[in-house]
Amino acid sequence: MAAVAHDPGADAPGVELRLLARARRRNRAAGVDVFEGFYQAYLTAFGCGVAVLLASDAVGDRKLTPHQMATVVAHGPGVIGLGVAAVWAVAIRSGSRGGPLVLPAADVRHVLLAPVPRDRALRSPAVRQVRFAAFVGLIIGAGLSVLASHRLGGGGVPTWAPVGAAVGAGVGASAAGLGLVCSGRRVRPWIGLLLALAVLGWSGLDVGLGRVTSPMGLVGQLALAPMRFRPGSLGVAALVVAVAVFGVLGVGGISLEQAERRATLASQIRFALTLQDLRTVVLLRRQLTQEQSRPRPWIRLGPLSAGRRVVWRRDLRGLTRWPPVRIGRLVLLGVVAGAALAGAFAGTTPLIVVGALALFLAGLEALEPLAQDIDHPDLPASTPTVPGELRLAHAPVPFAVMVVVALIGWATVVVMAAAGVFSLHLAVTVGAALLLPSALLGLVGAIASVVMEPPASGGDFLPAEIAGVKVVLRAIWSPALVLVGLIPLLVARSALHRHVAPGPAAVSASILPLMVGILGVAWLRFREDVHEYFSMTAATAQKQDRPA
Amino acid sequence: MTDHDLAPALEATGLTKSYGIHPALEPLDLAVAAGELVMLVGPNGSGKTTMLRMAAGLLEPTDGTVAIDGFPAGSLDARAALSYLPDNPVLYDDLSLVEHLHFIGRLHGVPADELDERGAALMDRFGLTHRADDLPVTFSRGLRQKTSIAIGLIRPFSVLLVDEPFVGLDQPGKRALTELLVDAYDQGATVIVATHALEFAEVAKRCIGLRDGELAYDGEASAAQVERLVS
Repeated sequence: MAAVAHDPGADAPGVELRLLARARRRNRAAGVDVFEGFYQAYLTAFGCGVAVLLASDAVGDRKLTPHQMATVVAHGPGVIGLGVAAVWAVAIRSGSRGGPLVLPAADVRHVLLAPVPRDRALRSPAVRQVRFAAFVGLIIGAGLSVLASHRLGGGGVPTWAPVGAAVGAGVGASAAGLGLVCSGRRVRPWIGLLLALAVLGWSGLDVGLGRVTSPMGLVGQLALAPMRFRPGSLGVAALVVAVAVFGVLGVGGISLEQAERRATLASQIRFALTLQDLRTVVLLRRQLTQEQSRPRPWIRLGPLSAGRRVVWRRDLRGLTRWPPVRIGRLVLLGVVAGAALAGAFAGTTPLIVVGALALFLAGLEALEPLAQDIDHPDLPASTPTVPGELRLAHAPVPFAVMVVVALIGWATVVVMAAAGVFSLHLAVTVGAALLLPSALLGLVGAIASVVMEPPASGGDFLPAEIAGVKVVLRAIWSPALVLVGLIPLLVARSALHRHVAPGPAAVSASILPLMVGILGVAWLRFREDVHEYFSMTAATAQKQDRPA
Repeated sequence: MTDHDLAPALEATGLTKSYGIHPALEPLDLAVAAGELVMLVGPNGSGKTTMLRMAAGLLEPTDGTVAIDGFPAGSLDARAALSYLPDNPVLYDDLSLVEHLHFIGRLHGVPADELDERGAALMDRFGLTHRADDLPVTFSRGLRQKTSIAIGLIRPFSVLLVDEPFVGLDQPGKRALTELLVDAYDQGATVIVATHALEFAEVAKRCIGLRDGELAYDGEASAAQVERLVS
């Protein structure tokens, strides 16, 4: 202890850190079943292959007209730049809150508190982070460019895929680098927010002006190089490399307070993901970003009344304490849903999945009060009410929130139509028909996710292939329900192609989703009764089968 | 002799911490001289852990400064001088007990030839020898706490900060820990222990009491005094 001499002449800390990492890897590897690892890799590759094939098929729509091509060449870089700006803005925000590194909690306690230069200790995790972000970007970039090649021409997949992969990798690496720069320089969250808004604003200006003045727009130009190559856009590559290198070199300045908080919450998020518990992931993500309800509500409500309305009023109180960032997120999800559905209507069918996911996430946000009851089952169980009635009473306020989100989406589409993207009449009529089904099914998808029981552990002796399919179905079941609410959009698009009025077609097609939605809400109320009915039926059948 | 040799082992100047609008520690001025054995007491939420974590460099002060041996908390020199034993043990799930002692000892510059001997002595003291090659993920709360203490004591330090060390320990563990803390003090280290264990007042030389984030007492330690401060 105190008498033990510190040995500054011992092996360089880098050697000790490498030995530590090696020992951990060795111990982890000892507990891994190699064949299981190969099998998981095989399943993942198989799943990715199927997804790419399906996506390619789904996007196999018509090629753009020459006029549309010219529009893409003129405005595409700005629009893609806006997407890049969104990624960079998220990275800046994450960096200002200690991201993107997520260290093991033990590393924070033992390595970062040791007398070892932190930049040395964190260099390796930082490089891994940049590498991983670049890889994810590469995959997404390649995938998107393959989809784009179907409609944009310009040399086909062999030309588009390498360009998309390179641009995606660059965007991923630079995003990780930006995050590391912000966390290493301890950029305060409010400054991070301002920077993120500035990046978005600059890019938005590019879109508005129809010109490229920002680095994000240059990235957009690079991404569209197969259509039109502009040599000047290559300069942005230097910026990307500089940001990544600067981020890695400056990572030693990170805040231990933030690093420790991220370490704890991120491990919980991983655990929640293994249970496919999206609700917990949403909750923990809020903690990670230190998103707290407002101590003072936006509007003061009167005292709680008795009876069923007490639940509504409790839900309303929660709503009045939403922090601005959550309200902003709901608005953004509404805008994304509207824009994605407009894109799907215009011909890029896979965008309907983006729209559904946006509505699903909005539903998870809106369903907060019910989710809290599910998180703390003792509380509702201690009240003298039928559980189903209590759950049902939680539905109206989130539904009202979802209607607002859908209205925002509709308004987005109307604005796009007014800007000349497509017919205003179509936006108004089809949007109106979609309003209720999308809001209701967005909520029902979230309900299905929140009330879902955790996966059974053990006792499930299904073959691996069937068990895998079951896991996938569990994961996609809730968001897929939201897709049902968007069926009227596809029906309206089909009607338009057949020269039939799309508005009335969408209204007729909304009956099925509305019925599914009502059934979903009814499931909230009668869940236990249905379970009990099936259990009794099964028990009766077993009794009858038994020999006398 | 340098300024740092003359500096207090721990010095807080206007040290403040707030979580949002909630103050956890009001501006605190405090100095602990080298070689003191201090008991830090106070009811739950009084700011003990917050103060220790800021001194360890794990929390950033909202305002004010804290220094270890004259070096800013969290700096390389402060980290070389300090050992912090947290109230919640955080261990690698993929390193055995003996590997924890070895690698963390090496990171703190313990000469390789001393590590085996010191590690064996600490494990023996806490009855952990037969679990040396086990992963802590299989340990009980008490065993994890003992492992965490062994890690904290294997490294060189001149200042030892200890947060609620007796929680989860059995009687032999508590006895062994008290002896080790007194040993460290006897060898010239500054030892600051945040605890609710009244019996520690028998060995502590000074008691610092916090209440609602403010300094409530600073003087001699006695069981009666500590009980009054904790209640």
